Amino acid sequence: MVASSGAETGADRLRPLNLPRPIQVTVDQQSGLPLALRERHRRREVECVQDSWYVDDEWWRDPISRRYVQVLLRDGAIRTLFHDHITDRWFEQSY
Amino acid sequence: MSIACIVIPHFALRVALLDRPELDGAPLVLGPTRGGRPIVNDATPEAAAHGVRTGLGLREAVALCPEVVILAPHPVRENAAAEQIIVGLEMLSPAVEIDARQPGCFTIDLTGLERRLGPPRLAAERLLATVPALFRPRAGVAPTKFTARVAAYGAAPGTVQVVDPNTIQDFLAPAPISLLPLPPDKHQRLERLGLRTLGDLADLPVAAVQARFGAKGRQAWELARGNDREPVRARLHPETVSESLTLPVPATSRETLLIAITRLVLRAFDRTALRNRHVRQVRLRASLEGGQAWEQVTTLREPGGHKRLIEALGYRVQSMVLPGPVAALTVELSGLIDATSCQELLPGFHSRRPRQLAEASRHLKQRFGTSGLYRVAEVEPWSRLPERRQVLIAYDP
Repeated sequence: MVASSGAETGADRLRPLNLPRPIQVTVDQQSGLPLALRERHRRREVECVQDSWYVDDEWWRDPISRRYVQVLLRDGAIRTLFHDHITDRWFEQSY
Repeated sequence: MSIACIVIPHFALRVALLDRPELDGAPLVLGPTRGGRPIVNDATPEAAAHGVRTGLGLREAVALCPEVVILAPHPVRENAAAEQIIVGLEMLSPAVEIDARQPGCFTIDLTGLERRLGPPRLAAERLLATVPALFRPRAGVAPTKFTARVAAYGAAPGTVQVVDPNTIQDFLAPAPISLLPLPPDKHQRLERLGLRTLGDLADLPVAAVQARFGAKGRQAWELARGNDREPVRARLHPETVSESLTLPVPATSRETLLIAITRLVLRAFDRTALRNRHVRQVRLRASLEGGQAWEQVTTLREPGGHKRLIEALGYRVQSMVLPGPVAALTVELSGLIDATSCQELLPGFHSRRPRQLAEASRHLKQRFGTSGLYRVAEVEPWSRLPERRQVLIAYDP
């Protein structure tokens, strides 16, 4: 994953869109799937996992290995999250 | 814990025999797919007795054994045969694993099935009976997966070999090292070192094996000593929808194929199982004139409905090279998920009023040095990584 440098981007540069946003996720130890996530200091329970898929790419330089899950939250909202297998961290990202 | 393994050596050749059973016992060789390199892909023991081996040119094979029969692979038929065998085995055990690296190798967990299937030997015999005899299947039973597999390869066709749990290491020691699940290059390296049997490998110090062959080598060393904790992983049953079509005349033109594919996709989406649902993957199978087959899997970047699917398959059809005229087509859709909607822009937002925007941009530039206006540009719209697909670039009208 390409980490954000945090630097102000100049107008003449390309600004990446839809960068992954780190998110705190509670995971079921057995299945590895999210049970709840924390957004703006609020815990939001996952009602069900609607879809799950893997993205493995760029093994020839910085390997990318992600497991995406599309979850339906208990309040009806839909979020797409992924678990970065390289850094063992969770992110939110529209797919 | 008892694990049974059923193996069908030379699986592709045994499947080819289903069409021509009279060839059973003749020296058989599996040739290439149409257009492939003319080499031997597999050979039966009858052909091997004449010196024909995998990798040999077909001309040399015929020179060594003039009565050899060269059969063409038929991946569609092989998949169908494997599926039929698995379905038969799953009638007796819920946990049946198919080895993706070794066609014709099935592992079955017998745990908890004693009351239904009897003791392990009887259970394995019952499993064996579900496989047609023409395949010459053989079975092995052991407490671990790898040992059961070695036992199965060591058994005679139609028989079962049961390994005593107390003698696993002694049983494995004389078995050929080629049975280890390692890539071909690692097998070559093992052979170059003079290691012929599992016992040869097991006798080496683990540190030396790991230093030379890495994690895979360590794993192989453990297997050679009978240490295998891998459970039988029952296959998943993904929901699929498939539609087939026999063409009135074998088709060679892309236009005809596209029309047939469109028809199949629309027929599939008419079914209740696909109502309000999207599809992630499509497997296209073609039966070719002359009995050959062809198969291709297309995975969509994002799940889509019938329009997106037809569009994606259209691109594939334009670039595909079929080895012959297509007699029948099958479309199998998998990765089914509930459809999600995309919000379209309201009509009013489409009018950008470019002149006003250009004016505003000019004012902003004069005041701040930069307008701060950007537009979205697609850079790698095909990328599987969402952050690579689009970027913001400065809006400069």
